[in-house]
Amino acid sequence: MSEAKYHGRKSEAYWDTVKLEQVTEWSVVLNLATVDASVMHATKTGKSRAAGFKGGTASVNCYLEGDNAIDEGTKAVLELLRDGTNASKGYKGTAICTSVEDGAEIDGVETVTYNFQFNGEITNVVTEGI
Amino acid sequence: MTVYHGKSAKVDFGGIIAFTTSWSVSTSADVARSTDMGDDFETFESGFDDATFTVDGNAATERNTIAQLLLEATELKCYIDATHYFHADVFCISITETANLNDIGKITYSFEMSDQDGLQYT
Repeated sequence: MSEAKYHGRKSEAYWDTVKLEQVTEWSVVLNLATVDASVMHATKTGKSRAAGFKGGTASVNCYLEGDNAIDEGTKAVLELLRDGTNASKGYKGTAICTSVEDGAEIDGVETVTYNFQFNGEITNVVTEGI
Repeated sequence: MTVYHGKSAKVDFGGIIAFTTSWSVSTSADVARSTDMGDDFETFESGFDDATFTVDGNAATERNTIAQLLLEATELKCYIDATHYFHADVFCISITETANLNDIGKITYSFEMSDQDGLQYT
C-alpha cells in the first residue's frame, strides 16, 4: 500500500467510540511550538530555533439533528478517519471539547460545530474504522 | 529569459511530499535603527534573516503527519524545476488537514527556518 488521495465524502468522526452523525467536515491543526535560539555570530545571520511542545486542535462540522452530541468541557477520545478505514489512518487522541457552536440560517440547513483541544499524545493510528 | 511552470515544482522534506499543489517562501530581515542626532535621514543596520514556508497539497491516506513534526531542524527543499531549489533547515510548526464531504482531502504545512546559513538557492 502507498499514499493515495482520498475524497472527504468517505471520512468519519468518532467521539468516545461513537460515530458522529451528519458530519460535513473535519479539520485538524497540529502544532509544534518553537523558541528563538539565535546567537551572536560574526558572519552567519540566519535565525536559529529550538523545538518545544507538540499539540493540536480539531473541529468537526455537522448538520444539527437536535440536542448537541457533545457538551463543552467533556473529555474523551476523538477519532477522525480519512476514508473510514483504519489502514488509511487519520487522527486519534484524547481531547476536550472547548466549544460548541449551533447555528441556523434562513436559507440553509442548521449546523453545529464542535471544537476540540487535544490533550496529550496524538497519533495517526485509528481503530474505529473497518 | 527563462520562466518556470509550477507543474514542474515539488517539495522535499526528508523525502518528496506527494500530491503538493503549491509552495511559497517568504524571507525577512530584522533591522535596527541606527539613526543619530544630526542625521537628516533615518539609517538602519540589518540583523537576523528569517524565512517561513507554506506548502499546500492534497492530503493522503496512510500519511504519518505526526511524524512530520520533527523535533530536530530538517532540510526543506522547494524545487522550481527538476534540479533547482530553495532550501534551508526548518521546523514544521503547523500541519492542517481537512476532510470535506465535497472535496478531496486537503493539507497545508507551515515551516519556520532554523538555519544560521539562511535561505539558499541551489
